[in-house]
Amino acid sequence: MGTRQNKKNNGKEPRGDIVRKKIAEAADVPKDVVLGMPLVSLTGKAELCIENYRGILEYTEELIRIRTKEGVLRVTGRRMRIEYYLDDEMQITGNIAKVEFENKEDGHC
Amino acid sequence: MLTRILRYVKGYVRIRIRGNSPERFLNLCRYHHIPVWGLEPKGHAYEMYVTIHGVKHLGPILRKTNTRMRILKKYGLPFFLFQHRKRKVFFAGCLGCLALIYVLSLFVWDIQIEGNYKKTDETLLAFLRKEKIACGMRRSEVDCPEIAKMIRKEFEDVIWVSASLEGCRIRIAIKENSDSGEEAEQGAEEKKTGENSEEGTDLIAEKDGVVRKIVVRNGIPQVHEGDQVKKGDLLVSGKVEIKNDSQEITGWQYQHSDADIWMETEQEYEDILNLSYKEKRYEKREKHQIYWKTGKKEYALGSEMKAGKQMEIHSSEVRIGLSKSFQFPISVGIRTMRTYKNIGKTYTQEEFQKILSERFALFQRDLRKKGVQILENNVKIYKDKDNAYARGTLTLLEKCGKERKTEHGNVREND
Repeated sequence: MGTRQNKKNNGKEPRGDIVRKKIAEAADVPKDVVLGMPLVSLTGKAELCIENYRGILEYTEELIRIRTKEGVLRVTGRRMRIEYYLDDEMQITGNIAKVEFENKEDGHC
Repeated sequence: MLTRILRYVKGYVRIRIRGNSPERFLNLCRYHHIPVWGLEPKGHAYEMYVTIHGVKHLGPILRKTNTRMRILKKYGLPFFLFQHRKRKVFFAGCLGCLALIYVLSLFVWDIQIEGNYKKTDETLLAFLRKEKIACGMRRSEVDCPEIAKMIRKEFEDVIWVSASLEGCRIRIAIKENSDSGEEAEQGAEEKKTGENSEEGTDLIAEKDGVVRKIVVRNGIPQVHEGDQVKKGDLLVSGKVEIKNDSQEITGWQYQHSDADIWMETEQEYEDILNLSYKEKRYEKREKHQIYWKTGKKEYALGSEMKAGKQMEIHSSEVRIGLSKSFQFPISVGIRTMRTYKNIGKTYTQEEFQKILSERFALFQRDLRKKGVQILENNVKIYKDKDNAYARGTLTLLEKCGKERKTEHGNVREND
């Protein structure tokens, strides 16, 4: 059913997600809880906390790529270290320069 | 902090992994709920901390991801215990210490008394000792309601008692009756007066002065504003006439006089200060003694100290314990002895003026606290050969009126 919906939407958001998004907006419920969207909190340049992620795709001192429901989150910086890597939360410390979502066209994924 | 403590208690290791897909290894760790922290890339390898429990479950993940693991360092209590497993005496000592703390926690080691102003701590502790409540008794034998009951029964002026057991300390909070002295007697007298209608009270002047304001609530005023009165003069009479329709006196009724009488009075002030005084000059050399006390016994290290002339001994003592409510019956302290020489000195004019002025300011503050207004102040500082004086007269506006039993015929005498 979900596959058919995806096909119908031509690669756009699944219909279930759209409904959930509208419900979350109407009920004023946090989207990270209802839709499982990633929650990224940055403390200055030194600390980055990510919740609702799916896994690590790449990890070096200069680049960390993290898979989330919204796409791949790309963190670039220097001397980056993963302080902790738990079921629901991870924290990156170091000199963080950039946090961005990768475009699918970029071909990073 | 708590996480660190828990990790230390459970134990953890620093590992280095090397393989083709360390990211997959990390994701599988997360999938199997194995916590990983302190992750750092080191060349082609990765270093991280994993719990002992996590390491035990890493085998299948390592095989699946074709990764090699090396333990770099071990941390935590389980490794510490294993490393020192042959040091039996050390562990016996630790266990003995814990056992001792447990045994000590079964007894009362301190009795704290709060709220006592008239009854000293020693009086109350002596009474408690007589009732077999003292330091060293078992905590299980302490009956707090019974202690409160005993204190209330023994000391009549204690109106409220609360006893509680806090760790190894019995805390006794008491409240004493502040009206128990003269006021209680006065209250009883008033009550007596009220019961017997033949008894009344007058208000008489305590000092010489001029009446400035009088507000009578009960009784017959005998003076008016501007009247000069002398000490002992009747101000308000408690003897009230009962008249018939033709204004003839048919009898007397005795009442408790009540009035606010403000009088202008004069008060002499004199303060003498001896101009020569002695100043202590401490010598540099000090003697120290370390001591510890258990109960009444004292053990000391260092030279013996005896109090003598021109010597000062002061000590600071600390009670050893785990917390405020769990203190052991041991105190440790340091005693210092210093010798000094008395050097005769004389106050300069500035100094004695300052001292006398400060003392006079304190006197004035006390008067104001009592509700007395200072109308005029003629106090001056004088000096002779040996002494300095602050002397003069203060004109005050103060509340007067001392109670006295109404005497039969008082009014007529005044008339």
